[in-house]
Amino acid sequence: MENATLNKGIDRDKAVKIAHIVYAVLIIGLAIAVGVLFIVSCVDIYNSQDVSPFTTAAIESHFKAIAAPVIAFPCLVVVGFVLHFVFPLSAKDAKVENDKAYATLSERVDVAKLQSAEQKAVLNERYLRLGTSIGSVAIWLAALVIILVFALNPLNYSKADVNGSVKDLALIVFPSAIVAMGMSFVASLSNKLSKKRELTLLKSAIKQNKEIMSGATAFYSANVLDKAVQLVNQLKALLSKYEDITVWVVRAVVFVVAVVLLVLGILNGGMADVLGKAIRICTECIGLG
Amino acid sequence: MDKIKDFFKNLYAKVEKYLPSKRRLIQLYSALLFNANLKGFTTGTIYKGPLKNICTPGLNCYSCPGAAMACPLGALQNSLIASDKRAPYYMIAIILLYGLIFGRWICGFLCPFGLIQDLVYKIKSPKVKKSSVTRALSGLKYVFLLVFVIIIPLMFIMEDSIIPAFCKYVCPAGTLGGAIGLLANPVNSELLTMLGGLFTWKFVVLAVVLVMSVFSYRFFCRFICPLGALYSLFNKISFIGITYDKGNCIDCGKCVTHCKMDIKHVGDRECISCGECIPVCPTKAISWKGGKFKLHANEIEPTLNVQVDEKEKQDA
Repeated sequence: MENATLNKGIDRDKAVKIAHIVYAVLIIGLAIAVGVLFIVSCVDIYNSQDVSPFTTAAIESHFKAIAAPVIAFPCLVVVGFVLHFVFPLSAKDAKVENDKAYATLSERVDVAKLQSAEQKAVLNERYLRLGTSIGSVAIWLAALVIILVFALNPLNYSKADVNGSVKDLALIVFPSAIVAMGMSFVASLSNKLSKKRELTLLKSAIKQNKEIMSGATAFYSANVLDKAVQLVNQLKALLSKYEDITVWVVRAVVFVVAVVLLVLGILNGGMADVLGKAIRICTECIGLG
Repeated sequence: MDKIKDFFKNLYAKVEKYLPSKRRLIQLYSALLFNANLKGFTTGTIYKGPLKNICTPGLNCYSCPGAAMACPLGALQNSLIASDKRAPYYMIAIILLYGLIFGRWICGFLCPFGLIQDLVYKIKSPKVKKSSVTRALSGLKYVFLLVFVIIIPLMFIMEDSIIPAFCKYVCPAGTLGGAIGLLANPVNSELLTMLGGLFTWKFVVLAVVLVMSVFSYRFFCRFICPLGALYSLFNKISFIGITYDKGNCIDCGKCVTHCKMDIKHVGDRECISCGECIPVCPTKAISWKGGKFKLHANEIEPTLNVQVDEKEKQDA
């Protein structure tokens, strides 16, 4: 009897899971399909004739043609809500990731007391992370320089071909930014893996010799770098100590500057400019150019 | 009488989690407030009154027939364009004041386009989880800010051209509120005949943003919005927003894991101060800045439980 109930329960769970998977596939497909259909219809209308392609008749006929999937989408959305309400999936546990374990151990382990092979391995990981972080910053700076060199060059702007100028600029700016972001992602992934490896090394070293947990004396075991780390930590401690005061000072300065600029802006006609633009239809905003 | 009371109490307890949260109500009220010119949707005209001297804190195209105030991003670009005639003090002051008072709380509570993305995200579907990739990509909005909002409008002054580049080439709020809002009214049918390649491009951008918003939380806010990029610079000093007590914080990371934005810690530049992390914190270290007003965050995704790895607890 219990087995039958258990089997029925398992079958029900399986059926619910399958229903959710089917729904997920349908909603992904339909959402993308509806988006693509709208885009294709719009592009089709634009390509249909040279002069004034967007007429009420053209829009109506194109969107009538895609009415079925467009209407099906909200219907499927409603089905999804009902499915999740009546047959909810059990909650998934999300794994929390944080650096706490690493941060705690790296503060307590004196690298100088590690055996030479272990010490070398741990320091290599730390130097790797330092190098990756510096490299990532350097790539970001390089990308910024490239972006600014192109963006601030007046020769790249042409009144005769505004759209073309902006397109060409975008084709330089965004790939540079994306490459920099890609490197940033690779660097953060590399650093994450390096911390995991270092954590494993530290844990195995502690198992062999608990005396190494006497507190970290130096992070890199190299004079210049450790002095730099010390300086940064002192600065952080100082900023932390006076954080509240600093925040209030910055707030006061920003507030005073803002009020002064507001008054100046009203007096020099800046506010009237805002009104003047806002009460006219912004042809650029609505796509008239 | 008691039975009736109990019945309604039980009914309320069942439907409570499906009611809009206070945050959602504030979002709805602000969207309505910033688009209070409802008459404009029927007449097909935009509001031309004195309220348009003032900018909304969030993204709301001033060419939307309902818009009762000006758009800060559009006004900023136009002020920069006019900077050869007069310095853009007014718009810089507005951005400074909004940033100082609200920071990215505006994104979480006041921005109408943020509300649209929140509502679209509610469609039940598999979601794209945040990761180091999305955290890296969140820097893209600063590129949009620097290039499209600041540099291009300024550089085109030299060519004697008025190009509010973000509004013209990117802003989906303009396409949705301004273009579709105006053009949907038959009164503006003559404007239809003026549409061309630019509108087609902007429509594509809008469609992509809306479809991506179904699968990725606040796709536009995280990766594109220059206004969010501007306000993010004020998150640490803003009067209103989220903060955490470093003394009580045990670095468990539940807040970061639970948050759908790409934060590294609560209150950083990616935090939109939605408050969803507050009930998740085991030591109640997270709270609202600026006083004792309470907003219950009941927007927590019911499908996500956050558990701290027991092994990690022991190691720590």
